[in-house]
Amino acid sequence: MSTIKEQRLQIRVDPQRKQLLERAADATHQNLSAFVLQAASQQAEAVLAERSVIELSPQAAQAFSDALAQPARVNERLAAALDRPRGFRWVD
Amino acid sequence: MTDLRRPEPLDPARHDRSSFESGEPALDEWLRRYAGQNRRRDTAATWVVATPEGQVVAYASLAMTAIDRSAAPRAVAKQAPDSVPALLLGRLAVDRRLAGLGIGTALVAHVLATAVELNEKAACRAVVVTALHARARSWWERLGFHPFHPDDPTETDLYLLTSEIEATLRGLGE
Repeated sequence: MSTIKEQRLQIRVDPQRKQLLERAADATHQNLSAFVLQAASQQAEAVLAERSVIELSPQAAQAFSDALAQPARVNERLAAALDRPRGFRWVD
Repeated sequence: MTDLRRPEPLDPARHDRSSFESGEPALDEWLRRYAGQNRRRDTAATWVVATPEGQVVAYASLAMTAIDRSAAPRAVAKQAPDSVPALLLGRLAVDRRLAGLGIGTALVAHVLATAVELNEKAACRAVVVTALHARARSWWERLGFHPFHPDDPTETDLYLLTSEIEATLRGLGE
């Protein structure tokens, strides 16, 4: 994850909700920004990891359809990666 | 050399995930707190690589998904159905203490073989992954994954077609 935090995210919040978030941040020994960022990242990751539908933009849909229509071919990068020696062994 | 058990479904009773640390807090937290529950809710299946003693050193979460290409120009949409069944490799994490041994790649290889098997039985045309950041995206690209949006450097969804996985595995004699 990038450690250079150069982008800002501003959120308007009502006082009660802010207090709630501050209390929770205190309880987990984090400052408010760190707490909100961690909770939101967690949720973002979960949403993306379990999508039942992946919606493609027009250009992506076109490119993907073109790829599907091609005859199957060996993926050289994949072949090279799978062929690389491993630093462990399976116990059977 | 490190000995590891082949990928197997997460068994909360047998697998120790308490000290798992990938360096990606959201992924660590999910494995420790939610992975077992998720199986019961049937939203994702968790596969792990563990030491012979049962300590988890890598995991992947899998879910069935559909790739929706209804946004494609009409000529394309006419040729084929809008929705393409696929396998979503939603999460992949390796313990940082065992990074660089090729465990992540080996777990992905297992998932790819699963996709080929699924495709023979019930149609699964692609494996989809989501890169959480730029470093993850280049890792997937080194494995041969293609960004869905070919010209967009911020695209985080990548795929491999099951047909190319099959051709590649066959070429390697696996």
